[in-house]
Amino acid sequence: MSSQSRSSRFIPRLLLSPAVITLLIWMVVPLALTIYFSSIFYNLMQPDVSGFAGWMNYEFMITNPAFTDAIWNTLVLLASTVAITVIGGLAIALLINEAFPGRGMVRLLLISPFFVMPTVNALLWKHMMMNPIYGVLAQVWTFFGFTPINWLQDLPLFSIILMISWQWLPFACLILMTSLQSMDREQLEAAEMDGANYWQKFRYMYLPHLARPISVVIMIEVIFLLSVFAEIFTTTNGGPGTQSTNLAYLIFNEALQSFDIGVASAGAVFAIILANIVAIFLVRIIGKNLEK
Amino acid sequence: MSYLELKNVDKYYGDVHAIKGVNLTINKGEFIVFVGPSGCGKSTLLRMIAGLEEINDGDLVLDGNEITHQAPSKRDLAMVFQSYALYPHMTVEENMSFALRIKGEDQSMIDQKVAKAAETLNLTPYLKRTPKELSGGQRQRVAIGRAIVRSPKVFLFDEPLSNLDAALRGQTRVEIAELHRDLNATSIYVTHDQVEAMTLADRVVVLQAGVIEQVGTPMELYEAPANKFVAQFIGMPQMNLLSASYFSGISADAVDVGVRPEHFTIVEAGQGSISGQVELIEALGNETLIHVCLDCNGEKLIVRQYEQPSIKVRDTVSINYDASHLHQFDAKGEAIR
Repeated sequence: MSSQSRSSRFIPRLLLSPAVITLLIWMVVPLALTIYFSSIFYNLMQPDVSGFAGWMNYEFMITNPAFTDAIWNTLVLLASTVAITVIGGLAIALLINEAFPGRGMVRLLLISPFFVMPTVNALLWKHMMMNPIYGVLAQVWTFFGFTPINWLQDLPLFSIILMISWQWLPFACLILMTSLQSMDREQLEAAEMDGANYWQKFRYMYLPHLARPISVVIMIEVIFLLSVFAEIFTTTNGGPGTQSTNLAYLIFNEALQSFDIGVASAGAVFAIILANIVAIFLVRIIGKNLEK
Repeated sequence: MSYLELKNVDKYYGDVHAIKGVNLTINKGEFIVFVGPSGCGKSTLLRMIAGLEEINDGDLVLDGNEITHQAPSKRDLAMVFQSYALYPHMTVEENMSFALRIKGEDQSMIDQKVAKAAETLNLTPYLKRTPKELSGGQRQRVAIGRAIVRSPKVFLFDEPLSNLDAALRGQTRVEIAELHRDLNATSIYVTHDQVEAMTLADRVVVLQAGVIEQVGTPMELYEAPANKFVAQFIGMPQMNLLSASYFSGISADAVDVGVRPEHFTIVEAGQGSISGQVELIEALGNETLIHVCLDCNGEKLIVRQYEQPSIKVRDTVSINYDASHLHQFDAKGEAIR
């Protein structure tokens, strides 16, 4: 009896193992290599210096003044983009939830920024919108008699946040829009008969209904926004100074500008730690919501 | 004394005239049931009274106040929805107190009202649960409780029992009847189930295609239907409709004659006025329904009898009718009195 149940469990596991092993290798090998590289001297410009480095690479990374800036910028970028896209996406989704002529077209236009590649998005903003001489925003500023803002020079991090928010707003909007469609109409009617005004309906009906999709939006955005790179690389190159450098860009800088693989790998290990800290917070706050 | 009055109420959906000038007067404390086939406009009419559908023409007067175009929450009505429409993330207590809380009423007053309603509905042990932790019947009671705590002038029920299984439906029906007796509240109840209509109603409103066919007590509808539609809609199995030629001593205008199944009796061959062949016998225990096919022209009728029959399928039988219970209809389908 027990041997039978053991063998009946063995076969599915055997059949599963290729997939599981592949996944493990896929994850473990890069992680192990990164940790290994972070512990040796490995600078492409100084091939003669090699051997075990101990904590040297980590120390070098932490004492780099750009490092704290990068972590701070990463978190600011993450938090503000998530806030802007969720609040803005929610507002737009509620706005276009009611039927109106041309709704299909409006929805299509709303979603389209999400299909624009990050580099194209960055170039669009850099040249078309934010250029202080020929950009659209500069024209608007001039029209109203203000001095045009040199966005990428003076407000680099804010400019990046703006670009990424523009790209991710449609995503939030799309998810929230579809879940608004599943809102129970009779529930809203019951609330209306109970005397709830729009704000109260929002607070007591829509928001609880949307708690789960909002969690999903936040989670997915956090995963992708921790590693924003293309927009920064295309527009500000992390500058001026380190004002728009995030952790991903700093690692890129160490690896492919300074050619120091060892330090870059140490940075990557920090990135993993940061991602895990964020993940713990996410699971604490949002995981509960998803379980319901 | 009229309490709620509908005067020539109309509803259009684009070109479709859904409710065609309905007039209805409802007295205080009455239990009114709207009944009719699917799509007859009974739910639309209820939603118009509730304020969830706009009234295109006509007036709605409640307790002396014109409320035709007032917002639903200002009308002082409470509705029990078909899906119950409970707020899923709130506990039973929060569900029931929602209307009072957003109105900003005194908390101790709210607690008192909720406790009282919960006691009436046997919901006290479940106050802290959320709707998904309740059974169908309990959810139903919460939906009613949510209406009760508001102490509205009129209760509106939109097919409230259609999501319950048969046994629970019968039990809840009795509970609603008792509740109405205790609260003595004016109620309007929409259903397609004639058993609910017959058992609950003080007066039944039969609707068809946006028009009221007849208003009356359940027994009036059963014993004196105003037209063929009401005659066939009320009663299970349906009233038999036969051409007038089978009957003697009836009005000259009569085209069709309706006879309820229990007013036919099967008699020995040759002794009845109608004869036919037995097509099907449905023995239900307390009663037996005998389907008879009339040999002359293929018309069919159903005989209800309360004894076990000795006849068999394909037997030729003779049938007598109770001459005091004939319903005669003229060419337009209206009853001849």
